[in-house]
Amino acid sequence: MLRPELLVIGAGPGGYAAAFLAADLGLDVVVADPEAHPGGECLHRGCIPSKALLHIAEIIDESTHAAELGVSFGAPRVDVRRVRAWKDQVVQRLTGGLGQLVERRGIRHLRGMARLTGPHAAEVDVEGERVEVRFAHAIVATGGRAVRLPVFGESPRVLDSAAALELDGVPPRLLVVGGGYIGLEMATVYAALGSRVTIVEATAELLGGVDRDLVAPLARRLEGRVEDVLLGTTVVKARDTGDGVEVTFDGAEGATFDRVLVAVGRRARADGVGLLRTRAEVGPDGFVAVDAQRRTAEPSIFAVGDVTGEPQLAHKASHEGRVAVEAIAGRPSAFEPRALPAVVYTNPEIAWCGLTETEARERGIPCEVAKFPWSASGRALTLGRTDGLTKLVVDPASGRLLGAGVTGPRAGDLIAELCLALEMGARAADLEHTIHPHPSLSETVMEAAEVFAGTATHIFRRR
Amino acid sequence: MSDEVRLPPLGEEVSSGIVLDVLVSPGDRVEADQPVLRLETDKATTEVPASSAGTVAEILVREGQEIRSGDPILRLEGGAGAESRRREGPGESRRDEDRGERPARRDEDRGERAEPGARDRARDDHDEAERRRAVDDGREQEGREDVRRAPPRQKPSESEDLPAPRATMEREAGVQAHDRRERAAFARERQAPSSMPRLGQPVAASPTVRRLARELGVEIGEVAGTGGGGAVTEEDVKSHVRHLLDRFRRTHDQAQPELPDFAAWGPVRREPMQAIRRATARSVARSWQQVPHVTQLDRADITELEAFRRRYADEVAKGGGKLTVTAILVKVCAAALHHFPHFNASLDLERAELVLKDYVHIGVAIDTPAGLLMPVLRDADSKGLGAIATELQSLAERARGRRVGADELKGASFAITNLGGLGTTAFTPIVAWPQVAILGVGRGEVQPVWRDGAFMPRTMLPLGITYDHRAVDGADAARFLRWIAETLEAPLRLTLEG
Repeated sequence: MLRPELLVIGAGPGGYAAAFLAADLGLDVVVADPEAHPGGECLHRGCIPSKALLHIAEIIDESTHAAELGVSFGAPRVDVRRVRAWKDQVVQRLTGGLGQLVERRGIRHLRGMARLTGPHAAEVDVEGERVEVRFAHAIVATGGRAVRLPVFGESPRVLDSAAALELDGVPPRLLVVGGGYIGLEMATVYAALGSRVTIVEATAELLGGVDRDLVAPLARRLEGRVEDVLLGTTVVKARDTGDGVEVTFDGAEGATFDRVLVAVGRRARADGVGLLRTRAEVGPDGFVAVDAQRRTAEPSIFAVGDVTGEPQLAHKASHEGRVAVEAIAGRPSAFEPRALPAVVYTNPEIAWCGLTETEARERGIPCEVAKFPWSASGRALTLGRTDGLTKLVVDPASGRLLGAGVTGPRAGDLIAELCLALEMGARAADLEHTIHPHPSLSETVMEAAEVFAGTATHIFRRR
Repeated sequence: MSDEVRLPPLGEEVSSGIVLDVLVSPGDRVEADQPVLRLETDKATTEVPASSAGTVAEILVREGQEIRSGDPILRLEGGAGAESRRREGPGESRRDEDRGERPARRDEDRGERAEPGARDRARDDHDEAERRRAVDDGREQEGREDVRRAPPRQKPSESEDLPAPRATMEREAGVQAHDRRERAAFARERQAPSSMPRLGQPVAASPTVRRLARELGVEIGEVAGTGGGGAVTEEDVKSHVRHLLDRFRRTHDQAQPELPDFAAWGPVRREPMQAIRRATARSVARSWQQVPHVTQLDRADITELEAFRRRYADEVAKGGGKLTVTAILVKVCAAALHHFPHFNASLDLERAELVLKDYVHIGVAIDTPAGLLMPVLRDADSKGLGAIATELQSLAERARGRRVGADELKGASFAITNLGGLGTTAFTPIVAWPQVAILGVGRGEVQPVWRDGAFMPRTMLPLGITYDHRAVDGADAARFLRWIAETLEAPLRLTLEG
């Protein structure tokens, strides 16, 4: 029997960040996770492999684009086996590195699923052997799993995002069900690799909830790269014919696809963790209820990451993991971000943080929106990409930043400055008066702040 | 494998108590729900049960120690649950020290109670524990808010027992946190150049400043920001705390002028105020400060009542009661309160309303060896004299034996204090706020009364009504008191009631 001070269940970005910090603070830590190395869904079957493949997609896209600039490489030849091997190597290197950090920190890793048996006890199934763990505190970081659509039944041709990232091949015709960020990222990868991709989305818009002006450049670019985008359309029937999936739509003509990727959302993986044996509460939406310190209704048990609710983002999970450990160590921590960034790694990338314009309008929060179109950015022009946009959502009374959004290449990196600005309670004037390097995409942030002030250098507005 | 038994919640308004006895010793086997501790809360004595079964490994409290809900009491072995060995780590090491040192300290206390060093250390330990508890409480409250959507942090109750200055200050800060008007006034006082505190809205402050506020227990929404655009800076948080401290010191200085050095005039001894003494001190001081008191006196001729009392004493005694003047007064007052409902009321000044009670619960002052207690005789208006006498007897006995429950001391809507047995003629008691009146009773004496052209020997009972002049006026009080006196003179009047 093991008697650690902390048991971490699940070694994804939430779990391993928590375990590492706890070990650094001197706690005796046991981590239970079935994989050989930490990383969870994000590193093994999510963010990381998808970004590796999106990098490949970007290279292909750029090389095609280069022809317009006077440099031709010829048509790309994709060796799927080598692409897959490279992607796998990225994942292995990253997770292997984490595995070493587990050892160096003296964390005990039990390779198996843990099931709580009480507020201070759990069992871990390690290759058929039951290991009992008695702990002072536990952090549940079991993540989530993709939602399945019953209409598709059981078919090897119907994939979830994890299976799509395995990259078994490049299907000639791919149907992506779901116009959220996972669906769009995978559509971008497969379209670049040569699939003819159709995207079907039940609601009237791609990336529902995101400001329309941020999504518009992506929607325009997708038009030339995917076969079709079917909005307000649902799949009513699907049949595996033996060499394809015959799909009937409600609101569009049916078609046959070689593969179907279902990416319609993710649910919490809260079942099978033994939470019922504790006082922890699971809401009707399946998420574990936690307080500001990520403590469940059972005082010894915390929960972090996807298992606790939307948005299901790795960086949110990591931060929560650290908050929970600090709370366990008796520090006055709380999960209270002003800016929780979200990034869609499509081409162009879309990133936002804080209050969106859409949300401000819905909630009747007074705000002023300042936009700087990348067509006026020298750096964007040199990249041949003028379809971007940088926007700030500002409190008109105080001039304080409430939220921000960026669309364009590397938007995911540009958003970091705006996160810091939000966390520091910066005003638009602070961004305006901070010298940004020229020429760079980051200048668009400064110039958007200048737009708010009414004095943007590269935009003339008649008074 | 071991398990900690913690002090469970004690009730709505009670958060702490003083350990009277520890009923078990290390090595004892206890069953779940077996009493392990006797605890003295404000005025009642409670037995604390073990939450689970096991063998007592260590006792974590000592007699006379003040403990609060959630504090560990015992460590049990062989129970369910685990308390694991801890490695030295930040935030955890302090708890280790506590555990290690406590047994030694207990020995010191047993051996040489008067040794000053030990006492000082114990006090330090107490302060430290107090501070940590405040942090823990905060965390739990936060937790509850989020998970269960409970109402916002409860206003610390008036009956809470927080003797340490630091705790009092925390309480003051807590009360202040919930008084919106005060908070607004506070912000004006600070004369923030650009922004007022904005409650319920995100506060412009960097993560570092927000963390500092959490560490100091400052609600950042209450801090007026002086930074760019009204942002809250580190200095703002600190000056907010300095201001609170200043204000606390000012009010504290006013409330507690320094005592002279009595030893300069001769030898002195000190004894601790017991819980009952402290509770009485608090409640009478509060009443004295808040209630504009007026006392009016009257007399009742109880010659015939005394005859009645003697005649039925034996009959009532068979039922286990004692037919006392107080018991009769409970009955008479209950009837009087029906006629004068404003004496059976409380003032809600916040809402400018009088809260009239449709029940009659009468608190009766009992002189016990440990001090004054006021157990409550419930629904006195619907009980017969015999039942009242019996119940009063039982309440009084249990109060003297410290066996009266906390609930039996709450909820009185009117009070009677009878010092007649000790020989007092007239006195001016203090209204037990939030009640609005109290009947004071002196010793009945045979006096010459001029009646029908001659002096007659009559037994006269001195009565006094002390009331909150905000709720009732002198004329009302005169009528009320007269009604009681006349009813005592003609008790048959009670049979007209109902």
